[in-house]
Amino acid sequence: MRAVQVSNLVKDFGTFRALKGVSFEVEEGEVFGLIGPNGAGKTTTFRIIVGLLTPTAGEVKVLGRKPGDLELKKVVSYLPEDAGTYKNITGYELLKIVAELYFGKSREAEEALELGLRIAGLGGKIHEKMKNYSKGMKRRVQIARALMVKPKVAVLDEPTAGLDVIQAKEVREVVKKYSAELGTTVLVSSHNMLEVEDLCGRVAMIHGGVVVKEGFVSDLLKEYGARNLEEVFFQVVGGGAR
Amino acid sequence: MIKPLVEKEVKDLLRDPRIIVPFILGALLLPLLGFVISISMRAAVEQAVTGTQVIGLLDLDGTPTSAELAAWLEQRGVSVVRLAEGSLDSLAEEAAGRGAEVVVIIPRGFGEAISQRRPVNLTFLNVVEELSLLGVSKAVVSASLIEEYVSAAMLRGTGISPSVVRNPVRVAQYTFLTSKGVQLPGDPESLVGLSLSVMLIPLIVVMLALTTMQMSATSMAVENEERTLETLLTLPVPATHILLAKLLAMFVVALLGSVLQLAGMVAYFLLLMSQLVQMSPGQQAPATGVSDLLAPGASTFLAAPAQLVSPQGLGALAVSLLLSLFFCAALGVVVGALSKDVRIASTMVSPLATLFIVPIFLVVYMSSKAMNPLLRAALYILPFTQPAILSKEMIAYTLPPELPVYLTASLALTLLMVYLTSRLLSIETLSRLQRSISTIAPSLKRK
Repeated sequence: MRAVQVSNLVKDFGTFRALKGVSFEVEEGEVFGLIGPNGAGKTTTFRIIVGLLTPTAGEVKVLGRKPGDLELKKVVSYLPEDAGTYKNITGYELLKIVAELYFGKSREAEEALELGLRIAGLGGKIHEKMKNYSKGMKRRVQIARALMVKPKVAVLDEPTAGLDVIQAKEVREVVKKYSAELGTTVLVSSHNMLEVEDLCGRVAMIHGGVVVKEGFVSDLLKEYGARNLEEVFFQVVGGGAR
Repeated sequence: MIKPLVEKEVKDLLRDPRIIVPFILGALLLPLLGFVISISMRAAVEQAVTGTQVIGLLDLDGTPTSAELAAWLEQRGVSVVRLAEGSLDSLAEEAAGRGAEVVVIIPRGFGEAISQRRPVNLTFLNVVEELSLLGVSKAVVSASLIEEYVSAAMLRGTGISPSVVRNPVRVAQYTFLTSKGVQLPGDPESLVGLSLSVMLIPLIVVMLALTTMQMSATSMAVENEERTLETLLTLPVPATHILLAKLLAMFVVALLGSVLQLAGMVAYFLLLMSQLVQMSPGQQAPATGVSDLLAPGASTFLAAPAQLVSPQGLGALAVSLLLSLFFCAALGVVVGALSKDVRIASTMVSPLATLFIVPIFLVVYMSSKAMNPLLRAALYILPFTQPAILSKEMIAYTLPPELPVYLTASLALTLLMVYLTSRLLSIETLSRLQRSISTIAPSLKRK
């Protein structure tokens, strides 16, 4: 079954057309990458998929339903780009609040919290106020927040943006490990095409509000005789990426 | 070396709306305040200076001397209204009805005291409708005229100049607040503690409202700045719950503040009233008749605190304050939600604060009696001005009979505000509005 179906998505912001007919599909259990430069339309597409924005035209189905309804929100997690935290509460408190929002005060909530703590992997520091966290620690907590509720679909917008190579690697490992363990369908966006190769099986390349290429990473590399996705991207857009 | 740096800093600061806007507002605010105060002052001064001075006269002496005083006052252009002895209420009512703001009570033995060249005791009853910082007592003018007469009468036939006589008259002053039917010791000006509360309490109330608004605006702007609002709106919780949770949290914090303020207010009155009681030990029952005022130790007649500030008034103030806090918290959420970051939120709160402060100065400085009824109704209906005017009139004047209607109207406005705010809480709407704001005020764009 398809976890996400996006067809002919158009989104206008005033006179600016951000998406010009974006279409792609994501199978259940897949780790799918939406890659492209800044301003290509990745965040807008993701915001429509999680129901934060409504499309001007076109259609999105997540697990066969229209985005935004409360039941769907229970099984779809979203990590916005540059997501910050509440400075004056602890990582533990945040995870506990989220667990209780999803499952009330139940055994399930306790299990979610335990899983969250494991994913965050911050040890004793989880009890410190988040204003004392490094950017990498904050992102670990956010990833934990998104995955601990065992979502069917996790939408992660630039999950490693702004992190150093070590922190970015750690975050990628966490996403790979837990999405496989939980069977979660993951949509991940990035302008770092090298890291997408590491994380995703299949990708869609988006540029100027249009999907310019879609396929399995290995097939794309073979098709273009390229060493990496960056080379594929430049060949597809003819070097005029910006 | 330092000059270019200073130049850069100055330019940087002057081009920052956060710095400039409060400067401009401050500059506008002061003349505006001056204007508002001058209007009220002019009205008060005009009231005191123009028109015929009317004195109510209760002549208990009934001697030719007291009759002569009345005639003498009339020669001086004072219109003398003769009043009959009765209860204080009826005396004050009759005086007010006939345009007299001060009643001079001439006691028995007045004529005799003058003939024997003994100081004369007089009792002045100031009949006012409201307590105000800017009132000018008619009693001051009356007292100096009467003093002039008494000095002249005492020294008649002696060839001594009346100007050498010191303190020929001993005056006991009382104030009768007709709007409440309450009498207080002293003249209206000396009840400065009460008058001051008329100014301070609305200001405290508005500070509380502004703090609440600033707090919720900042909290919401942080959600935008940290992108936590996006996360919140994707959690399986309706947007209205997110808003209510935020409003309630603001409300609880602000409530704590207002409970402290309300306690402070009650303490202020109790202290003030106990001070007045200490000034006049002994009897504490309110005077009902003129003879009570003339009795030895008459200054013991006091209004009980409950007569001045009724429990119903305090209850209405509490309700009004709660509504106001909720309204301001919602308004703050709107401001914060429309701001991409805290800096923009602070810039937007400043002009709103001016909108709050100007009406509050109207409340503080303008006589309730002289206020246009429509303006008064508007001040009572707007949730952010209601507790200010209510707290003032509760003390100094009288609460309008339409108060329940006003409370209902302000509740309706508060609910409307919350509803509109909940409609705003979607990334779609917010990003559209934020874009419009950035177009209108490009300087507010996030750098």
